Amino acid sequence: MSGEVVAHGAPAGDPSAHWLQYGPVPGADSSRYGFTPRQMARIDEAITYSTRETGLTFSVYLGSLDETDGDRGRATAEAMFSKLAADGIESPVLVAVSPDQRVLQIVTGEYSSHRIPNRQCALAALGMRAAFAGGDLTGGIVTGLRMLADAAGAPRTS
Amino acid sequence: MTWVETVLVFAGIPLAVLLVVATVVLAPSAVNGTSRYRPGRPWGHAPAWWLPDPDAVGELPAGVVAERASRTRAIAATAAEEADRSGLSAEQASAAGAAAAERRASAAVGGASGEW
Repeated sequence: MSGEVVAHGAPAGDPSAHWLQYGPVPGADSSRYGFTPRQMARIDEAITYSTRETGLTFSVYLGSLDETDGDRGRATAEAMFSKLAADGIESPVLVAVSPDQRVLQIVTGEYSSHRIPNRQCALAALGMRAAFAGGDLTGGIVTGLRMLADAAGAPRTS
Repeated sequence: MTWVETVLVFAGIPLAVLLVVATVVLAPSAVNGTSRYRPGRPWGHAPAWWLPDPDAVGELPAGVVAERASRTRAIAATAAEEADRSGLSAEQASAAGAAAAERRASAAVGGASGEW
Protein backbone atom coordinates (compact mmCIF):
# COMPACT_ATOMS: atom_id res chain seq x y z
CA MET A 1 0.00 0.00 0.00
CA SER A 2 1.58 3.24 -1.04
CA GLY A 3 0.39 6.74 -1.71
CA GLU A 4 -2.28 8.53 0.19
CA VAL A 5 -5.93 9.27 -0.03
CA VAL A 6 -7.76 12.43 0.86
CA ALA A 7 -10.17 11.75 3.68
CA HIS A 8 -13.78 12.86 3.79
CA GLY A 9 -15.31 12.21 7.17
CA ALA A 10 -13.09 9.22 7.87
CA PRO A 11 -13.84 7.31 11.08
CA ALA A 12 -11.50 8.44 13.83
CA GLY A 13 -9.44 6.22 16.08
CA ASP A 14 -7.11 4.23 13.88
CA PRO A 15 -4.18 6.00 12.19
CA SER A 16 -4.81 4.01 9.06
CA ALA A 17 -8.32 5.42 8.97
CA HIS A 18 -7.18 8.27 6.76
CA TRP A 19 -7.40 5.76 3.97
CA LEU A 20 -11.08 5.45 4.31
CA GLN A 21 -13.45 7.85 2.77
CA TYR A 22 -17.13 7.97 2.18
CA GLY A 23 -17.89 8.09 -1.45
CA PRO A 24 -16.51 7.94 -4.09
CA VAL A 25 -17.46 11.59 -4.36
CA PRO A 26 -18.50 11.88 -8.00
CA GLY A 27 -16.74 14.57 -9.96
CA ALA A 28 -14.68 16.02 -7.14
CA ASP A 29 -11.47 14.09 -7.61
CA SER A 30 -12.32 11.34 -10.05
CA SER A 31 -9.30 11.76 -12.36
CA ARG A 32 -7.05 11.25 -9.34
CA TYR A 33 -8.33 7.69 -9.16
CA GLY A 34 -8.40 7.19 -12.92
CA PHE A 35 -12.17 7.26 -13.32
CA THR A 36 -14.58 9.55 -15.09
CA PRO A 37 -17.19 11.27 -12.86
CA ARG A 38 -19.80 8.95 -14.37
CA GLN A 39 -17.81 5.85 -13.45
CA MET A 40 -17.30 7.20 -9.93
CA ALA A 41 -21.03 7.73 -9.63
CA ARG A 42 -21.68 4.13 -10.72
CA ILE A 43 -19.28 2.76 -8.12
CA ASP A 44 -20.72 5.02 -5.42
CA GLU A 45 -24.23 3.91 -6.31
CA ALA A 46 -23.27 0.23 -6.26
CA ILE A 47 -21.64 0.55 -2.82
CA THR A 48 -24.58 2.49 -1.38
CA TYR A 49 -27.35 0.30 -2.80
CA SER A 50 -25.75 -3.04 -1.97
CA THR A 51 -25.21 -1.81 1.59
CA ARG A 52 -28.75 -0.50 1.89
CA GLU A 53 -30.31 -3.66 0.43
CA THR A 54 -28.42 -6.15 2.57
CA GLY A 55 -27.57 -4.40 5.82
CA LEU A 56 -23.93 -5.44 5.30
CA THR A 57 -21.39 -2.65 4.85
CA PHE A 58 -19.63 -3.03 1.52
CA SER A 59 -16.21 -1.45 1.27
CA VAL A 60 -14.11 -1.22 -1.89
CA TYR A 61 -10.35 -0.87 -1.91
CA LEU A 62 -8.55 -0.14 -5.14
CA GLY A 63 -4.76 -0.20 -5.02
CA SER A 64 -1.80 -2.46 -4.49
CA LEU A 65 -1.81 -5.17 -1.82
CA ASP A 66 1.40 -6.13 -0.01
CA GLU A 67 2.23 -9.76 -0.67
CA THR A 68 3.76 -12.12 1.85
CA ASP A 69 4.96 -15.59 0.83
CA GLY A 70 3.10 -15.44 -2.45
CA ASP A 71 -0.31 -15.17 -0.83
CA ARG A 72 -1.33 -12.61 -3.47
CA GLY A 73 -2.17 -10.00 -0.86
CA ARG A 74 -4.66 -12.15 1.07
CA ALA A 75 -3.08 -11.35 4.45
CA THR A 76 -3.08 -7.62 3.68
CA ALA A 77 -6.73 -7.73 2.65
CA GLU A 78 -7.64 -9.62 5.83
CA ALA A 79 -5.72 -7.10 7.94
CA MET A 80 -7.63 -4.30 6.21
CA PHE A 81 -10.85 -6.12 6.95
CA SER A 82 -9.96 -6.37 10.63
CA LYS A 83 -9.24 -2.64 10.63
CA LEU A 84 -12.72 -1.99 9.27
CA ALA A 85 -14.31 -4.12 11.97
CA ALA A 86 -12.10 -2.57 14.67
CA ASP A 87 -13.14 0.89 13.46
CA GLY A 88 -16.72 0.00 14.30
CA ILE A 89 -17.92 -0.64 10.75
CA GLU A 90 -20.95 -2.95 11.12
CA SER A 91 -20.74 -6.35 9.38
CA PRO A 92 -18.23 -5.35 6.73
CA VAL A 93 -17.52 -7.02 3.40
CA LEU A 94 -14.25 -5.92 1.82
CA VAL A 95 -13.67 -6.05 -1.91
CA ALA A 96 -9.99 -5.32 -2.59
CA VAL A 97 -8.81 -4.94 -6.17
CA SER A 98 -5.21 -4.49 -7.26
CA PRO A 99 -5.12 -3.55 -10.97
CA ASP A 100 -1.30 -3.67 -11.07
CA GLN A 101 -0.98 -7.12 -9.48
CA ARG A 102 -4.12 -8.32 -11.29
CA VAL A 103 -5.50 -9.71 -8.05
CA LEU A 104 -8.82 -9.34 -6.30
CA GLN A 105 -9.69 -10.38 -2.76
CA ILE A 106 -13.15 -10.59 -1.23
CA VAL A 107 -13.12 -10.81 2.57
CA THR A 108 -16.13 -11.60 4.76
CA GLY A 109 -16.40 -11.76 8.54
CA GLU A 110 -18.33 -13.71 11.12
CA TYR A 111 -21.77 -12.37 10.23
CA SER A 112 -21.21 -11.50 6.57
CA SER A 113 -19.87 -14.99 5.80
CA HIS A 114 -23.11 -16.36 7.23
CA ARG A 115 -25.05 -14.20 4.76
CA ILE A 116 -22.67 -14.68 1.80
CA PRO A 117 -21.21 -18.22 1.61
CA ASN A 118 -17.71 -18.61 0.16
CA ARG A 119 -19.13 -20.31 -2.90
CA GLN A 120 -21.09 -17.15 -3.72
CA CYS A 121 -17.98 -15.03 -3.13
CA ALA A 122 -16.09 -17.20 -5.60
CA LEU A 123 -18.88 -16.72 -8.13
CA ALA A 124 -18.71 -12.94 -7.69
CA ALA A 125 -14.92 -13.08 -8.02
CA LEU A 126 -15.34 -14.98 -11.28
CA GLY A 127 -17.66 -12.32 -12.65
CA MET A 128 -15.27 -9.58 -11.59
CA ARG A 129 -12.28 -11.34 -13.14
CA ALA A 130 -14.02 -11.54 -16.49
CA ALA A 131 -14.67 -7.79 -16.50
CA PHE A 132 -11.20 -6.90 -15.25
CA ALA A 133 -9.51 -9.11 -17.83
CA GLY A 134 -11.39 -7.13 -20.45
CA GLY A 135 -10.06 -3.89 -18.97
CA ASP A 136 -13.36 -2.83 -17.39
CA LEU A 137 -12.55 -1.87 -13.81
CA THR A 138 -15.80 -0.03 -13.10
CA GLY A 139 -17.93 -2.79 -14.59
CA GLY A 140 -16.08 -5.43 -12.60
CA ILE A 141 -16.52 -3.61 -9.29
CA VAL A 142 -20.20 -2.91 -9.94
CA THR A 143 -20.85 -6.50 -11.07
CA GLY A 144 -19.07 -7.92 -8.05
CA LEU A 145 -20.98 -5.77 -5.59
CA ARG A 146 -24.26 -6.62 -7.26
CA MET A 147 -23.57 -10.34 -7.19
CA LEU A 148 -22.51 -10.22 -3.54
CA ALA A 149 -25.59 -8.21 -2.61
CA ASP A 150 -27.84 -10.62 -4.51
CA ALA A 151 -26.23 -13.56 -2.73
CA ALA A 152 -26.75 -11.93 0.66
CA GLY A 153 -30.36 -11.11 -0.15
CA ALA A 154 -32.54 -8.77 1.86
CA PRO A 155 -32.15 -9.02 5.63
CA ARG A 156 -34.85 -10.88 7.53
CA THR A 157 -37.20 -8.36 9.04
CA SER A 158 -38.35 -10.48 11.96
CA MET B 1 -5.42 22.18 -61.68
CA THR B 2 -2.24 23.87 -60.51
CA TRP B 3 0.24 21.88 -58.42
CA VAL B 4 -0.89 23.81 -55.31
CA GLU B 5 -4.47 22.61 -55.76
CA THR B 6 -3.27 19.08 -56.40
CA VAL B 7 -1.35 19.03 -53.10
CA LEU B 8 -4.28 20.54 -51.20
CA VAL B 9 -6.78 18.02 -52.55
CA PHE B 10 -4.68 14.86 -52.35
CA ALA B 11 -2.65 15.60 -49.22
CA GLY B 12 -4.41 18.43 -47.39
CA ILE B 13 -7.90 16.88 -47.26
CA PRO B 14 -6.79 13.40 -46.06
CA LEU B 15 -4.59 15.08 -43.46
CA ALA B 16 -7.48 17.22 -42.20
CA VAL B 17 -9.75 14.18 -41.95
CA LEU B 18 -7.05 12.31 -40.03
CA LEU B 19 -6.66 15.19 -37.60
CA VAL B 20 -10.40 15.40 -36.93
CA VAL B 21 -10.65 11.67 -36.25
CA ALA B 22 -7.58 11.71 -33.96
CA THR B 23 -9.00 14.62 -31.98
CA VAL B 24 -12.35 12.93 -31.50
CA VAL B 25 -10.69 9.72 -30.34
CA LEU B 26 -7.98 11.12 -28.08
CA ALA B 27 -9.50 14.33 -26.69
CA PRO B 28 -11.88 12.90 -24.02
CA SER B 29 -9.26 10.98 -22.05
CA ALA B 30 -6.75 13.85 -22.38
CA VAL B 31 -9.31 16.32 -20.99
CA ASN B 32 -10.54 14.37 -17.94
CA GLY B 33 -7.16 12.81 -17.16
CA THR B 34 -8.37 9.22 -17.13
CA SER B 35 -6.91 6.33 -19.02
CA ARG B 36 -8.40 2.99 -19.88
CA TYR B 37 -7.19 0.14 -17.73
CA ARG B 38 -5.17 -2.37 -19.68
CA PRO B 39 -4.33 -5.61 -17.85
CA GLY B 40 -0.56 -5.98 -17.64
CA ARG B 41 0.15 -2.27 -17.90
CA PRO B 42 0.62 -0.16 -14.77
CA TRP B 43 -2.58 1.44 -13.51
CA GLY B 44 -0.72 4.43 -12.06
CA HIS B 45 -3.51 6.14 -10.14
CA ALA B 46 -3.87 6.96 -6.47
CA PRO B 47 -5.16 4.10 -4.28
CA ALA B 48 -8.61 4.53 -2.81
CA TRP B 49 -10.59 2.87 -0.07
CA TRP B 50 -14.28 3.59 -0.12
CA LEU B 51 -17.14 3.10 2.30
CA PRO B 52 -20.81 3.82 1.79
CA ASP B 53 -21.88 7.20 3.10
CA PRO B 54 -23.87 6.44 6.29
CA ASP B 55 -26.26 9.30 5.53
CA ALA B 56 -27.11 7.78 2.16
CA VAL B 57 -27.53 4.28 3.58
CA GLY B 58 -29.66 5.11 6.61
CA GLU B 59 -30.47 2.87 9.54
CA LEU B 60 -29.36 -0.75 9.68
CA PRO B 61 -32.43 -3.02 9.35
CA ALA B 62 -33.70 -4.33 12.70
CA GLY B 63 -33.45 -7.94 11.46
CA VAL B 64 -29.72 -7.59 10.87
CA VAL B 65 -29.10 -6.05 14.28
CA ALA B 66 -31.06 -8.81 16.03
CA GLU B 67 -29.47 -11.64 14.04
CA ARG B 68 -25.98 -10.27 14.64
CA ALA B 69 -26.62 -9.89 18.34
CA SER B 70 -27.94 -13.45 18.67
CA ARG B 71 -24.87 -14.85 16.85
CA THR B 72 -22.55 -12.83 19.08
CA ARG B 73 -24.37 -14.16 22.14
CA ALA B 74 -24.08 -17.73 20.86
CA ILE B 75 -20.32 -17.39 20.30
CA ALA B 76 -19.85 -15.79 23.71
CA ALA B 77 -21.91 -18.54 25.36
CA THR B 78 -19.91 -21.33 23.69
CA ALA B 79 -16.59 -19.74 24.66
CA ALA B 80 -17.79 -19.11 28.21
CA GLU B 81 -18.91 -22.74 28.52
CA GLU B 82 -15.49 -23.94 27.41
CA ALA B 83 -13.77 -21.59 29.86
CA ASP B 84 -16.13 -22.80 32.58
CA ARG B 85 -15.26 -26.42 31.86
CA SER B 86 -11.54 -25.61 32.09
CA GLY B 87 -12.09 -24.55 35.70
CA LEU B 88 -12.26 -20.74 35.52
CA SER B 89 -14.57 -18.77 37.78
CA ALA B 90 -17.94 -17.67 36.39
CA GLU B 91 -16.74 -14.09 35.98
CA GLN B 92 -13.56 -15.10 34.19
CA ALA B 93 -15.56 -17.44 32.00
CA SER B 94 -18.00 -14.77 30.91
CA ALA B 95 -15.11 -12.35 30.26
CA ALA B 96 -13.42 -15.01 28.14
CA GLY B 97 -16.69 -15.46 26.27
CA ALA B 98 -17.03 -11.74 25.57
CA ALA B 99 -13.40 -11.52 24.43
CA ALA B 100 -13.89 -14.47 22.11
CA ALA B 101 -17.00 -12.89 20.62
CA GLU B 102 -15.15 -9.64 20.03
CA ARG B 103 -12.18 -11.40 18.43
CA ARG B 104 -14.49 -13.38 16.22
CA ALA B 105 -16.39 -10.26 15.15
CA SER B 106 -13.31 -8.50 13.81
CA ALA B 107 -11.65 -11.54 12.25
CA ALA B 108 -11.76 -12.34 8.56
CA VAL B 109 -13.66 -15.59 8.16
CA GLY B 110 -14.33 -16.24 4.52
CA GLY B 111 -14.31 -14.78 1.05
CA ALA B 112 -12.66 -15.53 -2.24
CA SER B 113 -9.64 -14.62 -4.32
CA GLY B 114 -9.20 -14.14 -8.02
CA GLU B 115 -6.55 -13.35 -10.60
CA TRP B 116 -6.80 -12.26 -14.18
